Amino acid sequence: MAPVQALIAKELRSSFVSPIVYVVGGVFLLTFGFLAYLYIVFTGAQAIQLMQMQGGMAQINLNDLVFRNLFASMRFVLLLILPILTMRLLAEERKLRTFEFLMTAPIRTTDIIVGKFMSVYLVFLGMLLVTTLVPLTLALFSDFDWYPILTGYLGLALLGGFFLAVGLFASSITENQIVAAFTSFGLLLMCWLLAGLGALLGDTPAGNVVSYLSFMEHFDHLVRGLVDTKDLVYYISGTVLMLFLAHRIVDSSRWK
Amino acid sequence: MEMNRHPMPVGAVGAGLAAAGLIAYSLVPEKLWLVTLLEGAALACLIWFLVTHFDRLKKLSAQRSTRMGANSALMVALFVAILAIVNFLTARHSVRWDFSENQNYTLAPETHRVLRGLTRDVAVTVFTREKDPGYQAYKERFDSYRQASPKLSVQFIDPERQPKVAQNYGITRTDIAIFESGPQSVRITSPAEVEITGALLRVSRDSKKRLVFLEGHGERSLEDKDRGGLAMTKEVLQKQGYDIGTVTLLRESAVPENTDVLIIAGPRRAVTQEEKERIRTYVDKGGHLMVLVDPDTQADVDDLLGTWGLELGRGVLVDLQDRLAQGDLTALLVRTFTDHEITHELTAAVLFPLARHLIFHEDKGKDWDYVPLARTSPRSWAETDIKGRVVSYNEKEDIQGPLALAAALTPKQASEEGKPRPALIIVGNSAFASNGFINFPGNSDFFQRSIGWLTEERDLISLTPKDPAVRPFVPNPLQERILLYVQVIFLPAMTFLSGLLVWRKRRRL
Repeated sequence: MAPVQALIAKELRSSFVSPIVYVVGGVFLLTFGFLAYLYIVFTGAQAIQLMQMQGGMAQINLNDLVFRNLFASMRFVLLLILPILTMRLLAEERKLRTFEFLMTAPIRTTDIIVGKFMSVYLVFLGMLLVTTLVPLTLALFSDFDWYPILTGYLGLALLGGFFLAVGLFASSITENQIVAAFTSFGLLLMCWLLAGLGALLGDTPAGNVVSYLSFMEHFDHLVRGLVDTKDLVYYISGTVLMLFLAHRIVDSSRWK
Repeated sequence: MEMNRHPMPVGAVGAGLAAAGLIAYSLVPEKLWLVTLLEGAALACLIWFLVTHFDRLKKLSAQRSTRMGANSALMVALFVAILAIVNFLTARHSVRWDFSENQNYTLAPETHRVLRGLTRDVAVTVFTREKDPGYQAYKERFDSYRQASPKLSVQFIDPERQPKVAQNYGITRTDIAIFESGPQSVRITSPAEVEITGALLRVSRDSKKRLVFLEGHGERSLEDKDRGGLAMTKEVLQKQGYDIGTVTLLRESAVPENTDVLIIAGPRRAVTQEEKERIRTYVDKGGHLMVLVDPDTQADVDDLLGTWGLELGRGVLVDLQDRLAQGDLTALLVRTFTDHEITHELTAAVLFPLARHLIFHEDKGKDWDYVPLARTSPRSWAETDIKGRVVSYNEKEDIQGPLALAAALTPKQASEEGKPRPALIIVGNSAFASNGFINFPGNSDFFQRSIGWLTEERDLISLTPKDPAVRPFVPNPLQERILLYVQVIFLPAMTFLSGLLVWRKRRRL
């Protein structure tokens, strides 16, 4: 077993015996299911209204009215709960003084970072997998196009990866879990608000760069069923950058 | 030691002054003396600091941790630079896969053809606010267009934030896109692909399309600035990039060669046989004709329209449902459109004050494709006795709706290679396009699109509008309950329960 695998296995074991994962997972599933339920019920009423208002123009289907809204709302839910998942990853090690063990163990910093990240990412993907019961149940009663839903899930998976990487970075700079959670929360909120700043700057080079830096529009494309390499590259490079920064911080404790 | 006499703050003060200088520059750039003073003082402080702390700095830079730190910082900077370059390149040359339900992000082959044929740059300015209905659609559409052609540059302007720009362009409503290229300028009011591609075609050509209005039978005049005139309409069309002219067929032997569309806008006196013959000849040769006829006029164009199987209905259209709330029953506010290039994505209702209906005779017009563009509601009829104030449906005399009041005609047979294809648009009302009504969003859209459809080589733009995906799902109580149990109760409850079990087990250990 490679060191990374050993670390992932250890992390997964410790996360499944701590109640945090179950609470976060429960809240996540509850919000996902509840929002989906509300959107579905409202859509029934909305569809009738839309038909009256716009006639043949209306886009009345589950993809546009339910899933698009659902995935868009989940952005905010993820922003609230993922920092809770990541806050303990490295901060706890520092607090319990097990960090030194990690640092002196025959394991590279890269392995530590990748292992920690993958363990929490697998937990998150597991949660996402459970939510697929929502579209599956819905598929029993109605028909809709699966492709935009799959791309929406891809968007959630990429966005979640990015959020978790930011959380891991925040957890690497402090030994206090609450500080770590709020730091990642703050960083993600800033990243979110960049979209507003970009809109304010308008269609200028600066505005375009700022808008590009926010995860908002990259996510919207995926939710609407458009897979664009630039959005994929954005998420992957954001995730990798955050992991790299965490790597530098952890590494610095070797020579500080 | 030196250090104790000059404690740390010198460096901090220097840094603070430098920052203050920058802030001053950003706030009051004209007060250059202040900025210079601040930055000069900062420089002095920092030099002072460097001189007095030289030994210490030297020691610090020789330390392993400093070297490692600098090394780390350099690595981060390099890493960020690499990622920035990668992102920049992929943003420039991105590949897309469209999995959306309606292929919203995929442009039609015709559009690609037009984009490939662009010979010069086109600058588009879109006036829209984030809260406007067209904002998102414009953004997405132009995104796809920009991906497909480097010759297109698009700028979004919020007329509330940049009123000066909007004023320069004379913007009166939002959700307008202005295309500029060379000497040409064209406006559109909807983010539909048909509209954008049509505008690209028009703006990238040097020759303007010529619209010619027929004169000599009391038609609405292009010079008339009153409510019933067409002066404002003319202005709207000129802004669209059209050339406007007039013709008197009583004097001319034929419709001028360079006429792209012949428009007969509300004739009130009889059109002579010779003139009708000249108009027929013009259409036969592939001409494009628009006829707007009001009810109760002596225009005498029935036999002309009969050539293509059309008949103008008697009476005046009355509608109990689709009408102006405060107006009388004849002020139609039509909102039922057939899905056609012209009416596709037409969101606003069109106001037709006092209109008549059209009838198509299959037998006479068997060579023609007839599309009724706009219809009245089922609660309408053609009232033949409008003398009294009170109108009511009279089965013997009146004709029950829904009735068509605007139609488009094209020949069923494709024309021979290189020959222009005739096209006609007939509307049972001309006031809708006059000064008094052309500024209604629905009216200007409908009129401009009709003109656009007539002037475009439709063989080139046969963009079929995409049908929006309509698959409504209204759950019945049983389904709703199942969804509630599965999604809202069962899944989260299971998760919480397993968490509880784990916690209890650990308590016992």
